[in-house]
Amino acid sequence: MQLTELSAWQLGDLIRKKEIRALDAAEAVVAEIKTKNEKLNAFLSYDEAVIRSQAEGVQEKLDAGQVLSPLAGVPMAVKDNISTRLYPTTCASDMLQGYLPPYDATVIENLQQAGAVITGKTNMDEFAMGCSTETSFRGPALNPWNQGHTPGGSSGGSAAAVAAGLSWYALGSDTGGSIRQPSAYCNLTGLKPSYGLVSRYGLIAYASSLDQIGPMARSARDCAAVMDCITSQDSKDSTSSDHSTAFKASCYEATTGFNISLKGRKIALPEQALAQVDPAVRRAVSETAAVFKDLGADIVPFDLPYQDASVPVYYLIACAEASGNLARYDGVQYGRQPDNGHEMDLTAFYEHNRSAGFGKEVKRRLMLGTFVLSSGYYDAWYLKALKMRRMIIDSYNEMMRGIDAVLMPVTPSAAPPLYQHEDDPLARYISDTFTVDANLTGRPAIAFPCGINAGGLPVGAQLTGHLLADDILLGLVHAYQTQTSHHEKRPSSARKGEPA
Amino acid sequence: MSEAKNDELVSREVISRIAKLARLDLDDNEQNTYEHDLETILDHFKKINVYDTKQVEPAYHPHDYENKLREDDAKPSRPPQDWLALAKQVKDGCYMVPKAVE
Amino acid sequence: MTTYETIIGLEVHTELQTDSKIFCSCSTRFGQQPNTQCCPVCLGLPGALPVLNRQVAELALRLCLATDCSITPVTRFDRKNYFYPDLPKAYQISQLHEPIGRNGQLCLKDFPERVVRIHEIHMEEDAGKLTHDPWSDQSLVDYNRCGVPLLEIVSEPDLRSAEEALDYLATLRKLLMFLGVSDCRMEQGSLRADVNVSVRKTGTQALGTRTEMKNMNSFKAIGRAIIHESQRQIDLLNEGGMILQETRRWDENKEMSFAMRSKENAQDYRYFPDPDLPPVKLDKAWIDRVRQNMPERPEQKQSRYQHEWRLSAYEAEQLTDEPFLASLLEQTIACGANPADVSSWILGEWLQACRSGNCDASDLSVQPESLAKLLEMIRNNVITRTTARSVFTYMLDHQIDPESYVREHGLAMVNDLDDLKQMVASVLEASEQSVKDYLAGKEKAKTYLIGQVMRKSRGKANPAHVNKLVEELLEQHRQP
Ligand SMILES: [Mg+2]
Ligand SMILES: [Zn+2]
Repeated sequence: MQLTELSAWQLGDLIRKKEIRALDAAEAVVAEIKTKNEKLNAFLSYDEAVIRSQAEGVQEKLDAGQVLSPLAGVPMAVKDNISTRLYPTTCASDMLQGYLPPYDATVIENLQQAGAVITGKTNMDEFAMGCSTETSFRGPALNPWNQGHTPGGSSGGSAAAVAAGLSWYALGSDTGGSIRQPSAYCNLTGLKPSYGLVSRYGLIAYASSLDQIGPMARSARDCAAVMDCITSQDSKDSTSSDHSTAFKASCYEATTGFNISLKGRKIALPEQALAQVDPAVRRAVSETAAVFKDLGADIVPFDLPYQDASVPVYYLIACAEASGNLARYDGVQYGRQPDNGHEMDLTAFYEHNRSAGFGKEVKRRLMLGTFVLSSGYYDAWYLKALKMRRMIIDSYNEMMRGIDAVLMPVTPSAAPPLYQHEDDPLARYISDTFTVDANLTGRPAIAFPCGINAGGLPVGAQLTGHLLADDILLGLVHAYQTQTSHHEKRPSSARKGEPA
Repeated sequence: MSEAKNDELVSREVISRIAKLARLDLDDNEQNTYEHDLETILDHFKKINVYDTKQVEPAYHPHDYENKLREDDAKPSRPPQDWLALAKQVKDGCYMVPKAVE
Repeated sequence: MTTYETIIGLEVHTELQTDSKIFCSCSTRFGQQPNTQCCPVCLGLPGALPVLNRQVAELALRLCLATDCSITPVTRFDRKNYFYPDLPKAYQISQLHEPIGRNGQLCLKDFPERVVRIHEIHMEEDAGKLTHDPWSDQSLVDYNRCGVPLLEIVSEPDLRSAEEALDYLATLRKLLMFLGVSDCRMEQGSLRADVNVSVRKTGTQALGTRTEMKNMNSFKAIGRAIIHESQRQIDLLNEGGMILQETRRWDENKEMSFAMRSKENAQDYRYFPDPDLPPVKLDKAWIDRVRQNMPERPEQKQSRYQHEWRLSAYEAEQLTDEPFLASLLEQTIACGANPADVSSWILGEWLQACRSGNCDASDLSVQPESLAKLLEMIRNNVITRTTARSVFTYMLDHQIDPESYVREHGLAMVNDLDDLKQMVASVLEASEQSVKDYLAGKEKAKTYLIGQVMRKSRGKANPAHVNKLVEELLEQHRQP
């Protein structure tokens, strides 16, 4: 039995039943990381000693009879924009090199309570601004399915780690698709939870009204188990939902207590979306619809509202919020600080630190965000986008009445080769067209594997649901995964012990 | 906008003013790049103007939470060293920055 | 010669009397070691998030209601973006689009015809404190004050002179203190004002170009600065010059204002709604509750003291000068003391003790119950006022029960007429000259003799008796 080929849930089961020790799982994953990470560049930081001591700590609690969670002792990875006291948290930016947060994000506290073993911090696009990890200060992560291709982004390191067997599951963050797109590119199941379900306290903000932390794993059932650990009503996050605590139980139940019956469920399929994507993606998503139909669901037509506005509205809002959120990086308190700061005047000091610390894409978005908020442009761009956001929210509320979920592609194609659109930011932005609505509306959305294309790269499908009905999405995908095996496919490079 | 010519969305002057506001020191090359990028991006984004939003309330949040408040309880703070240790330039328990007071 | 009118508007910042900061649980206590009252939230560390302190909204509501503002049904926070080292997030959480209150008013005390309109009241966070380090020629930043809750009260340009501006500030300060909104300790910076000044030709309507002096925290400086600034503008106009809209800094030592570097003048704050903070809905139930629990305002107290307790207008005004005096008065009366007695004691002995001890009225540690007992002993002829004074002095440094103290130290009044007669007689005997003077028509001599008797009794003699006996015995001397 190869431990790294099990699902997180299965591994947790073995540990809980004392068939293996938490340390065995930790050793297995350390060995994998050591052989493969240098090539894949999935982790920005990990520490063998820290991994082992966490595993031993969890084992002690388990031996003492403490009930932690179904995932106790299962090693997992965390995107490098989630604050941890165990590891530096850099957002893959030069700006935060060496920054060791003096506090843990709420999700980290929750995970530790649940007995998680945190292996390290995963690569990402700088400050989560990108869709390929190409904007990482430490260079891109590679797609374990084909190393000439991107694993996606911005949670690309998390996706690469889980797909390559370097971790059983990982946390990502999703502002405009950053969990779902890399999940699709790496054959994973990834959930962008309802806004407010998972605390953002400690998540280094890109765009506060859109950001949400979520699980990336090998099945809906694993995602549900992770949601069960990380969801909480957090008094430290004013945008945290009052329903979080009540929600916890139902999330896990959706994939364990009962197999959701799809009789009477309505799943909408927007034809217009299928018309815009690669044939392989179109075929895979259509086949997915057929599976849901076989399972008893009704497939109904749907029109994505204001589809051409989604990407502009998303980028206008995200960049505006980012220009505020990233203003704090000035080289005074933490992170990258100059040796010769005292020789500069105040403005030069700020300009020097910020220009040297931020990469090209971050600067581009800060310029855009600053522009749309600046005097004379606010109403025409930013306020206009906020109004469009209301129209999009209202339309979804209206159109999804009586519908459980909307099924569509995650991306127009499978993972592109690395650096495909390096000098064409607009082309990159436009590829977010199917993912940003969930963030604009706060709705949950889940990406899941639905096939492999002719080039051997995975293709993903996506379901968008109702606010705080994440459990329904997990249940639907779980039902799908009981009937299909796309999610069980692993890249050949994921085989144990083989260098990536 | 008076700063931008006719149907130009951003000008070089705007770019240099925005860079100042964002405290980014951009060289000529970068200014050219971002002028071009923002122009292209905004030119694509302006299609949202076909939608009439006159009667629409802006959405500041994805949904309508309100009154998330905490009680006025003061809690003891951690030792200042926990934060000051992250900074390179510290003096007398304070962060040190280039001269900002006259 | 052209005459000009001075137009003044004030933006007052006041720190709220809360225990914790506006968006985190750090203490607001003043005067602590630098950076000892900080956390990830008020330091703006990456990933930290703000959560609004309920008491801040309550206190803001209180002031809005007391100044007749209309309350914004759904109030929001905005980010004000600018780079400065006292602002760790590089934005201040403030309110621009939906401030908590608008269109209020405040009546001045000495200019009853002047009703100053309040444009808006909004909530915001204070910034840290910068000091200059002369050794390194760098600035040092202390974030303890960062995140202390502030209210900004923005007046319309309705004030016409330095006197009116100071009246407005004093009235507002008193209101803030009585409402329990702020302690308004100006020396600690908990009340600061930005002063906007412009001038226009008398009789014209259009407002002139204004200048702004920021962050002034002494009444005296504000008064001087207004007078100087309006004169500077008038002189400039008379010379054919033009006023520049600019921020000026008042130098208290040089008694002059200076234009700040123009960089600080042209700002583009790029305000936008803070996505980390959901709106605050101020529904009727909440507003009603705040209204019902509204502390009494100083002018309400003043008139109640006059009508209910028959205090003079002067006394009532003095006693409502600061909340401590009013509450001392009310609590002591509640303990059973006579209102007139309490009033006269507070305005007399209590304030005198503060003057000689060079301290604030609230620094004296005498409790209202003890004061009430002391005053009742005077009223019931148990002790003389003189005795009461010395007991009071002792009470300033010692926790005692005045009644047992008087008993144990034999300080009760001497009422025995025989004892007193003897005492008076011996004084008259020893003061031949004064007796003669009195008999020759010098009334003053009697006062002296009474004083001598009181002294002899160590203040314990019943003064009414002494008075009567001195008169009687003096008259006896008159008879041959
Ligand atoms: Mg302000
Ligand atoms: Zn704090």
